[in-house]
Amino acid sequence: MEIENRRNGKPLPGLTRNLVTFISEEEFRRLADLVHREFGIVLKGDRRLTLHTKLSHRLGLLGLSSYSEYLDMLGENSARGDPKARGELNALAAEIMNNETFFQREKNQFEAFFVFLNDIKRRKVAGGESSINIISAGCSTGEEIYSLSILLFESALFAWGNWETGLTGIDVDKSALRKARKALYSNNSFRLLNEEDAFVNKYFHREESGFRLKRAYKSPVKFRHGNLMDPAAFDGLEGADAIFCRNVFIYMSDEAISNIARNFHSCLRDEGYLFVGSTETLIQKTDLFVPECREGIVVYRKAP
Amino acid sequence: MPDLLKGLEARDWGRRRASIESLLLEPEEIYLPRLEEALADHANADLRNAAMEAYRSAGRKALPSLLKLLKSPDHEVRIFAANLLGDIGEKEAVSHLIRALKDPDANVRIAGAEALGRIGERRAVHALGWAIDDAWRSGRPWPAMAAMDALAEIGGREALEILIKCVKKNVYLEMALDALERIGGREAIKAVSEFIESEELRELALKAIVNIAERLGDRFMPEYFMRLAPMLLEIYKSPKFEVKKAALMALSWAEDVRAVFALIDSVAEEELQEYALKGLLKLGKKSVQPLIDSIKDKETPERATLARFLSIMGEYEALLQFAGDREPEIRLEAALAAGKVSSKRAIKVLSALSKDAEREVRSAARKTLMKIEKK
Repeated sequence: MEIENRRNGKPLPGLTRNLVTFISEEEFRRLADLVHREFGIVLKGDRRLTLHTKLSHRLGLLGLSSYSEYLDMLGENSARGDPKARGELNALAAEIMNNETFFQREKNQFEAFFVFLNDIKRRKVAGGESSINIISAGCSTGEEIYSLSILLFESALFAWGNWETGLTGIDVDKSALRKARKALYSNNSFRLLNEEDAFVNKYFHREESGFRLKRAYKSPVKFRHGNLMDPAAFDGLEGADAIFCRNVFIYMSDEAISNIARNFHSCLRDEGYLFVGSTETLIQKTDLFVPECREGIVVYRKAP
Repeated sequence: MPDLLKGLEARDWGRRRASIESLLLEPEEIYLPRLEEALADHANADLRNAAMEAYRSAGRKALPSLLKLLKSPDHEVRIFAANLLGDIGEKEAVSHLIRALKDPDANVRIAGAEALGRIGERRAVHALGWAIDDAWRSGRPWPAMAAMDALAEIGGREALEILIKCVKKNVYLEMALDALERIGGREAIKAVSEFIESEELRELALKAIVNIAERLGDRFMPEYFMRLAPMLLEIYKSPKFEVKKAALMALSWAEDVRAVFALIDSVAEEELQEYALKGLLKLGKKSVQPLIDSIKDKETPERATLARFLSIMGEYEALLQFAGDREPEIRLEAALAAGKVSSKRAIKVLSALSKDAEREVRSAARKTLMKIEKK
């Protein structure tokens, strides 16, 4: 059995060469502390090469040669409230979090929400309200919020009368938000669909560089830059009918999730719906929301 | 008391919790008999489930009651009692649960084994080994599985030896391999390795070997997996993610150039990315041209990550060709790479990128040009 035994201390003959350590343990620890403090993100220690691949260009851009210098710069300057340092922190968070998203991701949740829309409308009509507001928290490049825009349109529930539809995507990654505002997508964003699929043909124009969302579905959507850990990210969005925050919590500590749940709780109306990723849970992370099983999915409602 | 029990049936989780907390303030001799009745009330699942919550919350205080219920004439009550004893985790229950491994009802035996696994006491190991043999003799795999799972949870040398014996005697082989994976250790790897080339068992064996090795921090010599590269590339196509991951890990250790495109593909999957990058790094120069070809292919996912990786490998000259790429992140890598290459071509690239539409690309190119001009 040809196994390398590192515990002997001395390398055995014919060993595979060691990988260069790109980030030292001390640098990794400092970086992990920083991103957790600022964004609630948990960095896993066994992914240092991935981390270095994601971040090395930030050092190049700033003309720095080590993560120690990078961390010193971030630490000192963000403490002084330096906007460039804050900008760099946001860029750092954006690189670390996976921006991967695509249209119709976890479609069963959209299908369930389609059904809930009837309840929402009934309640609003009874209460004399004429607006519906939905938030995509951690919206990345916009596929989720645009999927919701399409859903609202297809429901035809809010098409007539003086309904105001407010769809807001929030993300800490400015580069992702720029892409989201362009609403121009590659095949990657349709990985669950065939590019010949009726969905693509109906809602997108084909262009040389990709698929552009049609204006009718793009125009109701607004994007804003914000950190979900910061209550200010939700200013002006109080009384939301639904918040979608899917595949965001997987990167975060329980403490950060609890913090964000508090912000969601303040922002969501009492009868509102909170959707998280199907592999995520808020159970034992917050008492502010309780799970409900409806239409074959789990959705969270405010605790009584 | 009737009011408190009524609260136990509440659908609302908050009310139920409050009722349980009130109930537990009463003396045990008052509420435990009522909980015993509730546990046997098969017509009222809500009350029964709430009674189980109450038992869990009572913890150690509930032990005598549960040990009594483990001898109930009702097999379902015995199952609940075993489950709850496992949840509460008191070592005092171990000898009673060991006796439950001989219960006439198979589901009670299963619950008993599971509970012993959760409690984790090594004195249960021998009895669990007996339970596996008994299940094998009577042709009942589920009690065997529960016993093997329990051995995996308890761990230790004796548990390991029992599982290795199961593998060698072909006793519920797949379950035994799975349990060995969880129990870990180099002895487990040795035992499992015998099955790496078996058509039916290679996926399980591979998964066990790489996962145990990774937990131990061990690495195989490249030659071990290199000879298995064609098989690993087949297994890599498995729709089962854990199997695919095991194959990718082995390929990353193999340092075999045949694996290069599997490694490149895996960069796009977050859970596999680290292994893929490490595997490509080990391949070194052999991975460069495949990386370049993949970046050139516009449909390749994570092209920017691959471009950054080329930079990490020091392949700056190779990155210059991507100065006109449609993705700004890739153009940025070209700009940063050009700063590390002393050539006319690099200067041309930087000049072009200094007028790029993206601010970061422009800025990187201009800064580098200024540095070069100063020199």
